[in-house]
Amino acid sequence: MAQILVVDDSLMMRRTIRRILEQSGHTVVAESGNGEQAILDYEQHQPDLVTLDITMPGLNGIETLKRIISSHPQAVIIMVSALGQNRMIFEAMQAGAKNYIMKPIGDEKLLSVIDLVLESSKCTDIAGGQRGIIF
Amino acid sequence: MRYLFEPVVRLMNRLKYAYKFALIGILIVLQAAVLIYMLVSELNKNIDFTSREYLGIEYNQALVALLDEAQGYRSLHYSYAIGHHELREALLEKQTKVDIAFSALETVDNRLGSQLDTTWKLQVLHKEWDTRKQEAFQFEPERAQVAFNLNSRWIGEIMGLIQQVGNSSNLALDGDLDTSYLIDSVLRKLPGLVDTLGQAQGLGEHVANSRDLSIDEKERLLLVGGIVRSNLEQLDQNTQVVFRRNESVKVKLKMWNDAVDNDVPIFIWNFEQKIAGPQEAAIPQQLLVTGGQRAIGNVLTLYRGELTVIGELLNLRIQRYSRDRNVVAGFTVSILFLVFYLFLAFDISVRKGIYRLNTLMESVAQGELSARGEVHSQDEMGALTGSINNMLEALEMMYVEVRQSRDCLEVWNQELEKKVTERTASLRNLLDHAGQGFLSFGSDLKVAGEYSAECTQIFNREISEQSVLALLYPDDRGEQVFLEALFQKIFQEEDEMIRDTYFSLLPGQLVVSGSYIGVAYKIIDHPAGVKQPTIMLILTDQTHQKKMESQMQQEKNVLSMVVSVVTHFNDFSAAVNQYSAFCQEGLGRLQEAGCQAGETLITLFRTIHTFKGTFGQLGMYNMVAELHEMETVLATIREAGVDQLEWDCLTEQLKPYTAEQMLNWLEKDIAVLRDILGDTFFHQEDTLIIESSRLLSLEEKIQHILTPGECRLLIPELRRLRYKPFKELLAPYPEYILNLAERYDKAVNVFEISGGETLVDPLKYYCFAKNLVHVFRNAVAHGLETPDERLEAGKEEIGTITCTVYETTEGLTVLITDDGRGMAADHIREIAVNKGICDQKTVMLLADEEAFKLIFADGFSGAEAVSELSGRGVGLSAVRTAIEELGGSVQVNTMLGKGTEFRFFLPLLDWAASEPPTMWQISKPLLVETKNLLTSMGLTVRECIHVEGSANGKVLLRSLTAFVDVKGIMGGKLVLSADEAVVEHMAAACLQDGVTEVSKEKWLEHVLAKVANEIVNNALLQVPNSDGAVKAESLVTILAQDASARYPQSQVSTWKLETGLGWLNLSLIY
Repeated sequence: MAQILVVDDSLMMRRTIRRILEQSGHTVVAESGNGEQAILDYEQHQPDLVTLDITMPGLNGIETLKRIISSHPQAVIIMVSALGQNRMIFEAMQAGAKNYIMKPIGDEKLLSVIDLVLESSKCTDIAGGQRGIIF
Repeated sequence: MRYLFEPVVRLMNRLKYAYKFALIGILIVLQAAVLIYMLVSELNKNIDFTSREYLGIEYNQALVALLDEAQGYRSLHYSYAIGHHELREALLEKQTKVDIAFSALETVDNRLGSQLDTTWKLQVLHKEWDTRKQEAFQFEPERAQVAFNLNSRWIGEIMGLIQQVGNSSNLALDGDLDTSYLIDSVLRKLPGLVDTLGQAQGLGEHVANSRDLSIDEKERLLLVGGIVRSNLEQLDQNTQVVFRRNESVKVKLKMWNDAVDNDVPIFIWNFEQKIAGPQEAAIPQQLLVTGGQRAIGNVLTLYRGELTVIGELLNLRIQRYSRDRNVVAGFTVSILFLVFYLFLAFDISVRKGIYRLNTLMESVAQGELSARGEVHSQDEMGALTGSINNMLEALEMMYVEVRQSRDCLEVWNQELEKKVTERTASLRNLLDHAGQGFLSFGSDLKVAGEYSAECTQIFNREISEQSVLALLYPDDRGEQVFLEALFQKIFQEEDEMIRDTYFSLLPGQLVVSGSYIGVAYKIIDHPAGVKQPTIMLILTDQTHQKKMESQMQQEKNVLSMVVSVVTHFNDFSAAVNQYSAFCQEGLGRLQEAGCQAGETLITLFRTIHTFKGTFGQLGMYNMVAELHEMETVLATIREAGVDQLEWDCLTEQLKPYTAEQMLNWLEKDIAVLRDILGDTFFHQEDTLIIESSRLLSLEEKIQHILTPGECRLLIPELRRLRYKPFKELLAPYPEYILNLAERYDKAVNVFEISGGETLVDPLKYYCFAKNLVHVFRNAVAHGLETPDERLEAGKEEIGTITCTVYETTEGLTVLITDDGRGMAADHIREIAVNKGICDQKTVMLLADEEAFKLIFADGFSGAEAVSELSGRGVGLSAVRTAIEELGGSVQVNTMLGKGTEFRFFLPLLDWAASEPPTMWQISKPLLVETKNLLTSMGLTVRECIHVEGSANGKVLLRSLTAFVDVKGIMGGKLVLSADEAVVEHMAAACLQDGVTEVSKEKWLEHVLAKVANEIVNNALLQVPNSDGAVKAESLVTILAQDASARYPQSQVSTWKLETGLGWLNLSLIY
C-alpha cells in the first residue's frame, strides 16, 4: 500500500480523498492546502504518489506539478480536476502527470486510477532497475 | 568399381547419344582395321616372300640348262684340247647350244634380273663365256688341263650365280622344312654334284685315253671321285629327310633319285677302278663315258625334277597364303560389316527412340498432353516409352481433374466473390443504417475515403478528406488546437495507459447543428510497419436518447444528491452555510478588500471552483451546473487579461451574479431535497430529521433506478439513517408492565431495559418487539404471584421482571426473566396432551428443556380461564412465529417457585453486514419451483442434469426460449428453454378462450414467457434479503431451432430436465 500526499485547497475534498484512501489501506502521509505547502510536504515525506488539485490559490496545480517534477522527475502525480478542465489535464500530462481523476470523486474511480498508476510506475521501476544492471 | 568407371561415365554423360555411338563405332572400326591390316600385310609379306622364291626357282631352271650345257662343253672342250680335233664341229655345235642356253637365260634375266639382282653377274658370266669361246680353239694338248680348269672356274661362277639367285630370291632363307632341304639340295648339293661328275666324266675320258698317269694326277682324280661320293651322300641325306616327311614329293622324285643313286656310284666306282684299279680290270672307255653321261643326265633330271617340285610346292604355298589372306580379309570384312550394320541398327534403335521420347517430352512440355510415344521395340526403351505413355495418361487424367476442379473453384470463387460483394454491401448497408456514423482518419487528421452514410446525415455534407477537427468543432479554434495536439499525442504515444488517458480527454459528446452526437473513439493498430495507426470515430445521434437520459439522469442526480446530503449532512450544512455567507457578503467584501481587480477575479474564480467541487462531491448537480457556468464566464474574463482588468469592467461583468441569484441556485437544490426528505430535515442545524416513510420510499426508488453496484453503495448508508437502537423498540414495555401489574393487583419493581444500543432496522424487528408483549404479559399475569402469595412463599413482596439485551457475534440475545412461580415441566406436558398438541408418549420422551418449548405451540395456554389479557393460547405462538421469521431461536428455562427465563436469540439483520443475495442463491428455489410447476401441469421430471459453466459462456437453446432479466441488488438473466412439445403441453394446461386470435407460435411464446416469469418470481420470494430489492422482468421470448446465446463475460449454470415429452433447460447467467 502506498504513501500518498493529498493536495487540495478544499478541506472537504481532502477529507473525502483521505477517507477513500485510508479505507482501502493506503496511508495519507500529509494533506497540503496549497501548492507551496505541497512542495514542502513532498520534500519532507517523499510519498509514493500525490493527488494534486489543479485549481488552487497561490501556486496552481500545474505549477506545483512542474516544480515537483523538476526536482523529482520520478514523482508519481495524479491530477484532480473538475469537469471541463481537459486542457489543463492535457497540459499536466505533458508536464509529467501520470493520470488524472475528475471530480466528483468516487471510491472506485479514485482507487482504480491509483492502482493503475502504481502498477505501471512499478513496471517502469523494474525496467529501470534491469537497465541499471545491464549497463 | 564405381570409381573405376567414373571418368568414363562422366565422359559419356557429357556426350549426346550420336557422339557416344560415333565414338564407340570409330574405336571398334579402327581396331578391326588395324588388325586386318596387320594380318593381311603379314600374309602378303609371306606371299611376296614365296613369290620371290618362285622367281629364284624359275631363274635356276634356266641356269640348270646352262650348267648342263656348260659342263658338257667343258668335257667336249677338254677332249678337243687334248687332241681330238675331230670334235671341232661338235664343239662349235656345243658352243651354239651354250649360247642358246645363255640367250634363254638372258630372256629370263630380262624379266627377273632387276628383282634378283643377277644381271651384272650374268653379264660377267657371259663375258667370261665369250672369252672362253674365243680361246677355245687355241689350246695345245699340254694345256688341256688349264683349259679344263678355266672352264671349271667358269662353271664355278655359274654355280656362284645359282647361289646368288638362291640368296637374293630368299630361297636360301626358306623356313619350311620340306622345301628347305630340297632347296639346299638344289642350290648347293646338286650343282656341286653336276660339276664334280662333269669333272670326273671329262677327266675320266682323258684317263681312258692316256694310260700313264702321274701319281698327282691319280690323286687329283680320286679326290674328284671322293667329292662326288661325298656330294651324293649329302644329297641323299637331304632327299631322305624330305621323303620321310612328304610322301607326294617322294612319289614324284623317287624314280629319279633311285636312278641317281644307282648310276652315280657305278660310274664313280668304274672311274676309280680305271684310275687306281688293277691294269687287268679293263674298263672300256666307252662304258666310262656313257656311264658318266648317264649319271650326269640322271643328276640333271633329278635336279630339274627337284626344281619343278620346289616350284610346285612354292606355288601351292602361294596359293595357300592367298587363300588364307582372302579368307581372313573376307571374314574380317564381313564380320566388320556385320558389326557395323548391327551397331548402326542399335544406334538407330536407341537414338531414334531417345529422340522420339525427347520430341514427345518437348511437345508435352508445350502442353500437348495428348501426345503419345510409339512403342517400336520390346526392350527397355520400349518399356520406358510405355511407362511414359502411362504417365502421360495419368497426367492427362489429372490435368482433366485439375481443370475440372479449377472450373469448380472458379465457380465457387465467383460465388464467393458474389457473396463477399453481397456481404460487403449488406455490411455497408448495416453500417449505413446502423444509426451510427463510422469514420476513420490517420495522423493527417483527414477523414479517410470510406465512411458510413450516417456521417453525411450527421454533418449534413460529404466529409471525405475533410479535417476531423473542423468537423468536431467547426467554430471553436481553441478546441481545434487542443484536439489536434491531443490526437497527435495519441498517435505518438506507445504506452497504452497514457494513450487511454489521452483518449479519455477527448470529447464524448458534441453538438453538431443542434443535435447531440455521442462520439466513441477506437484506435486501430495496423500490423507494425504496414500502416500508420488510424483512429475510428463512432458517431451516434443521441439527441433523443439524451432527452430520455437527462430525465433519467435528473432522477439519478436527485437520488445521489439526497443520499450524499443525508449521509454527509455535516459537510452539507457546512457547505451551505459557507456558500450562503459567501453569497451574502462575498462579492462585496472582495471589492472592499482593496485588492487589484485581477487578483480579486482569481480569488473569486478559485472560490467558485472550490464551491463547485464541494457541491459536486455532495451531488448537488444543479449548483454544480450553475457554478460551472459562472466559472466559465470568469475564465473568459481571466483569459482576456488579468493585469489590465478594471474594477468597473469586472463589476459590470459580474452584475448578473447577485447574492439573490446565487442563493437561488442553492435554493433550487434545497427545494428538491425538501420535497424528498420533508421540511423537518432543514429545521435543525446539526441533527438530521427525516421521516422514515420518506427514507423508505427513497430506498425503493434507488433500487429501481440505480444499478446493483450503485445500490450496494447507497442503500446501506441510507438504511442506517432509519436504524434505531434495539432498546428503543422495547422502550414502551417498562411502563406497560407497571400498568399491567396494577390491573392484576401485582407489585412489580420498576425496571429499565439494559443493553440494546445496537442499531437495527426497526421495520425488521418491529414484529418481534411487538409480540414480546405476550411474554411480558405472561410474566405479569401468570408468572408473578400476588404480593401475599409472594410473602407466603418467602419471597420479596414486590416481584422483579428484567429485560436485558446482549450483543454477541451471532447477533442479539434478549433475556427476559421474572422471579414468579415458574412452571413445572410435567404440568406443561399434561396441558400439551390435554390440548392435543402432543400425544402422551412423545411428551414423556421430551427432556424438560424441550417440554418447556411446548408453551410456544399453537393453542397452548397455561391459564385456566380466558381473560381479556391473556389465555387465548395464541400469544406465545405469535412470538415463536416472529422469531422464526427473523431466523432466530428461543430457549426457556423455568423452575417451579423460582421463576421463568426466556432467552431469545436474534440474528443481526444488517443490510451491509449480510452479503447481498446472489443469483446462485435463487438456483435452488428456481429448480424447486420449476419442478413444482411441471408437476402441476402433469409433467414428471425423470432426470435432472446440472452443467456448470460452458465454453465461452455459450448457452445452447432448444426450440423455444424465454429470457428473464433479474435486476436490483443482484443482477443476471434466467433462460428457460424448452422443446416445442413441452411448451405445447404447458399451453394445453393453461388453455384459455380467445386463443385463436393469435398464431400458435405467438401463443407458445406467450405461455413460456408466463411460465418463466412465474417461476422466477416464485423463486425470488424464497430468497432471503431480497424483499423488494430484486425485480424480474420478461425480456424476450424466441422461437428458433438450434440457436445459441453467448455470454462470454458471465458465469453460466444450466440444469437440463427430462420431462418425457422433451427437454427443458434452465440456465442462470450472472
